[in-house]
Amino acid sequence: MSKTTIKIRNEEETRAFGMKLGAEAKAGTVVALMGDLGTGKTTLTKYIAEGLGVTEQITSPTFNIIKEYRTGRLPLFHFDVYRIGDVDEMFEIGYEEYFYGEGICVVEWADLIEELIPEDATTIHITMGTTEEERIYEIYSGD
Amino acid sequence: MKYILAIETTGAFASVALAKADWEEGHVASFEIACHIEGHDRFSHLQNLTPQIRQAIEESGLSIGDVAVIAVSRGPGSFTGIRIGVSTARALSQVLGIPCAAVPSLEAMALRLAESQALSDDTVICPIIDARRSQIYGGGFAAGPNGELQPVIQPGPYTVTEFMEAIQAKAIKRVSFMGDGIDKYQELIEEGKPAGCEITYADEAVRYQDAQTVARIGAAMAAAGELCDFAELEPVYMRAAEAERKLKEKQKNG
Repeated sequence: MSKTTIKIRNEEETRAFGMKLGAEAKAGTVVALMGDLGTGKTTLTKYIAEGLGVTEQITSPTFNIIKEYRTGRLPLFHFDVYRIGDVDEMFEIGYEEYFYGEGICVVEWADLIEELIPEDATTIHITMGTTEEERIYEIYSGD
Repeated sequence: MKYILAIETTGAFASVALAKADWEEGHVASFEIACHIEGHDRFSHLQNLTPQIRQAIEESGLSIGDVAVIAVSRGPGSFTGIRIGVSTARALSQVLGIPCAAVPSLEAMALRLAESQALSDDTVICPIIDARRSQIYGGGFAAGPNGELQPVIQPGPYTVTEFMEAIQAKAIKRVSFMGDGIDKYQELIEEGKPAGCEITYADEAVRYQDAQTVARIGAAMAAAGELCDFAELEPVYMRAAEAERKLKEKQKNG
């Protein structure tokens, strides 16, 4: 497990970061996003999708828990687990087939289901920086 | 002579077996596998299970109405797999008006290995199913005086480390591992191997879940009067060790 901290100054840098992550992601990659409301989890997801070559519009899956996008290089499974009441609900939606499957999973509010996040996932803690636009990414990568 | 339809979907590959058996109180008088259909696509139970059942029935020259008991591997294992297997079994049981046998997956696995190779009396068969994040669903079974399998390590959720400690605590000298937990955690198993314990790994041909021994245990359950109604047929998902611990903490802290 390695940790790096980077400063993202504006949305342009979020885009560059997300695009790179999306371009480099492999089948079975899980990206766990943790951060308060308004820190830009969905925005980052949009750019990861763009990096994957997804052409559909990414919208927040809060009310669906999960949305699937299949127009990119690999399938993208976008989770927002904010409304998950109990970890058991993740089993009911078949999370195992997604997390250990052939696509890429981006999980918003991943801290709520921490015990299910695979050991080799990339976890990004997002916090506000000193300016309106600035964000701090603490990135933990598994082996 | 009665027919038992057995379903196993708790692992990567679904399988179906049709067994011809006779039983009377407490005793299986005869048992023979009439047909056995193995799936070849990973985690495609939803598409494949029903066609596999149809194929097993047709190849045996029977009709679905000839089936007297549905035996299903109730878990633990793949959550989605268990759901598909148990709901299919429930539906068939309800429609046909026949009882079910809820077969523990780990026991059915252990029986497969016990039947397939001659193991010494002191060997403990340990089926282990990957439960993710260095966790398994596992158990240890040894042959009792009449050859029946008895649990030596209680079937349940463990971390690989905890499981190896259980082997050490029971001072088990010979262990034969099976199941997809091997594929994932062989390194951790070797690391946790107690001194003086000999570990072997089941051949791939008999390493994983299979419906034939689900049928066999189903017959034994029928003989023992342990069948249930479709409404009483419950899956056993089993929480992974870590989730179980977190839940208990949460309950303790209110």
